[in-house]
Amino acid sequence: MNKLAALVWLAAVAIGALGLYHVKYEVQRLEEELELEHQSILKYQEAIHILKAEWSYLNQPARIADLSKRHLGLAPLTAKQVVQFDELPMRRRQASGNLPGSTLKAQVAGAPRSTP
Amino acid sequence: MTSNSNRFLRPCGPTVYGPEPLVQLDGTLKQCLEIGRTRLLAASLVFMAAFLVIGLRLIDLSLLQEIKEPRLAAVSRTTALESVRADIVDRNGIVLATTLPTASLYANPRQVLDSPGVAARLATILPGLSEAELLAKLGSDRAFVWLKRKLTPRQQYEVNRLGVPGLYFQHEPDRVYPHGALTSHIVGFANVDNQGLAGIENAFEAKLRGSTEPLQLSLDLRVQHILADELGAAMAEFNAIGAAGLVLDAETGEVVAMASLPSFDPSRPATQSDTARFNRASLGVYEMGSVFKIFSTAQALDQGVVGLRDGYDVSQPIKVARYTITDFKPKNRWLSIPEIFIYSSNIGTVHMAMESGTRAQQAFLGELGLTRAARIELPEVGEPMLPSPWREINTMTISYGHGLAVSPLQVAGAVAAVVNGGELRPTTLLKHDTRKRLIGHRVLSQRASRQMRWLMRLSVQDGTGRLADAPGYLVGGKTGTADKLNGRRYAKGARIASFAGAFPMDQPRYVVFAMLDEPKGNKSTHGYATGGWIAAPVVRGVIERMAPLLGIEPRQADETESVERHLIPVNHKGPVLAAN
Repeated sequence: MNKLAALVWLAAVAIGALGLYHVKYEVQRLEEELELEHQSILKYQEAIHILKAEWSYLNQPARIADLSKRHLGLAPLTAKQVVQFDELPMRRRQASGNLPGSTLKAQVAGAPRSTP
Repeated sequence: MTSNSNRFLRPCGPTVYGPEPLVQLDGTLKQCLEIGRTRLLAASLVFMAAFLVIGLRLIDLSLLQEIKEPRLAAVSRTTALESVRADIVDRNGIVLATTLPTASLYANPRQVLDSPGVAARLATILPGLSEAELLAKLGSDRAFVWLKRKLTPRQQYEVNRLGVPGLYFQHEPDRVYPHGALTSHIVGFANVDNQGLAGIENAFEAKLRGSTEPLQLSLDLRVQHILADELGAAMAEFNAIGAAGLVLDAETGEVVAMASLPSFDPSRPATQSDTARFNRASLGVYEMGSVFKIFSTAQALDQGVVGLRDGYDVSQPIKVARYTITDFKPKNRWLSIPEIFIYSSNIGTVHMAMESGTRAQQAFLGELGLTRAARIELPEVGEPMLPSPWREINTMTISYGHGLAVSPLQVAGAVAAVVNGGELRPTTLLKHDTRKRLIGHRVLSQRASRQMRWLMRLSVQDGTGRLADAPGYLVGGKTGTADKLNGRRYAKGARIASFAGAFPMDQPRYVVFAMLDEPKGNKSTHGYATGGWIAAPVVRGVIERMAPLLGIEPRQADETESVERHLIPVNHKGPVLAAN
């Protein structure tokens, strides 16, 4: 009986030691991996930092203005292009006296034809 | 016998005498046993405590502390970004100044084997250095010699590819300004050791050094570009020697744009001329001319010396001592206060200023911050040039902007106070924290401020500032033209043309100031080089381009309700406007 208990304990100790050994090396490996990951994070952070500076450089307003002039044909917005909601003309009423929107056809007919 | 044998077998054990008393101890034995027991107990208690501590610590380490992230790699951070300096960004977060890692090339000549060959190959990679120069450096018998500081990444790659022993890189941080000359007067620059020498870089040296939190300025890069672009175009068109401009938030005093031309490249400050490095907007002081009539008129209206219905006869020039004060375009009749303002009559303004007197003028201009250096976070701030002593004749000339030289920044700050309801706020280059309350100092009554808005709008609608009128944005302002001082005399033909404006005039959001130094009139201006012809169109251009970007809604029905109307005799259009 005593011998059996001792054997069980011995086995437990052996398994424990083996497990501990395993965990220790696993932790070491993971820490190395972590270190590498951190180093690559730092590298990427630095790269992002440099790219931000380059992005800012590429966004020089004078350069953007030049590019837009050459490729887009856009011009600064003028005050005339902005119309307030109140200034929109009223919708033309149908002569037949139909309520606006009663039929799809009426709706289409009532819509303004030319864009401002 | 048994008892005796028992005694021998168990010397310390209980002595058994017959069946009754199972345990009987006599003196020494009992003592001996008791001591043994207590010692055992004490020892086991100590061990138990020790194991308990170890156990608790184990639980603590393995279970409770696990929440913490394991050591960050920041410990191993010995790379190029070690010596940090915070970025400077504009109000929208666009990078204006940043620190990038660069490599500098040095050599250990003792380790370089074939120095003539290496020098020849290096000379093709590094354009700034000649072969002879490199050979001299590599041929020396020192152990350390700089070959070139701050290589470009491509150069570094090429040098690496040579694979020559004895060449090494030193990683150094370098300050980079992606927007170069556009913001150089504000951001400033740092030297090769990354110490700020000018502008914000210098003013916030302590804050920038060792920090990673970017410093956010009030500047809007888009508006800055528009301002510099318009000023540059006008400068080229009218052959001016310089230009300065400002866009100020009328409510908060934030500088949204500040330009001074000609400008310079902040990455090579040493090679730039002093005129280019000079910040005309904050360091330069100029006699502003009629722009000062804004302040003279505001003072007269605020102190109740005159009302909008009053006026003066301006047909007679004013003669004081050996000076004669005349008007640029004489009207030769009685003018109302609005007319004096919109036609920019010197004579009328002098009459107004003389009614309140020298003391009052000094105090009022002081309140507006025009008699002491502007408050701004730049080291380059110009002291105004005041007359000393301040005589009556000075009061007269200062009322129309001569005899007192101030910086454009001071003028813009004072105009903001006049139009924003009468509160002066310190001008600032840092973005305003909207959670903080604005602190202001009342310099003008709300009523006088309202009247001034209307007068400034009128000046653009019908007066000298007509070319500043950006339709839909209710621009108001005042033109200014001043002869430049040449030694002690005024030079003819060398002028400062300026325009100080604000928009939209019913609730001013921004103050825009533009100034050109020594412009020459051309055909398109009929030969005039005045503020109305030269600087006003710049302001109009700036407003037309910046307003849509900053979300200011243009109004088609221009005047009807937006600007307060008064029953004022303005004779130039007959009774129509007067009865309006």
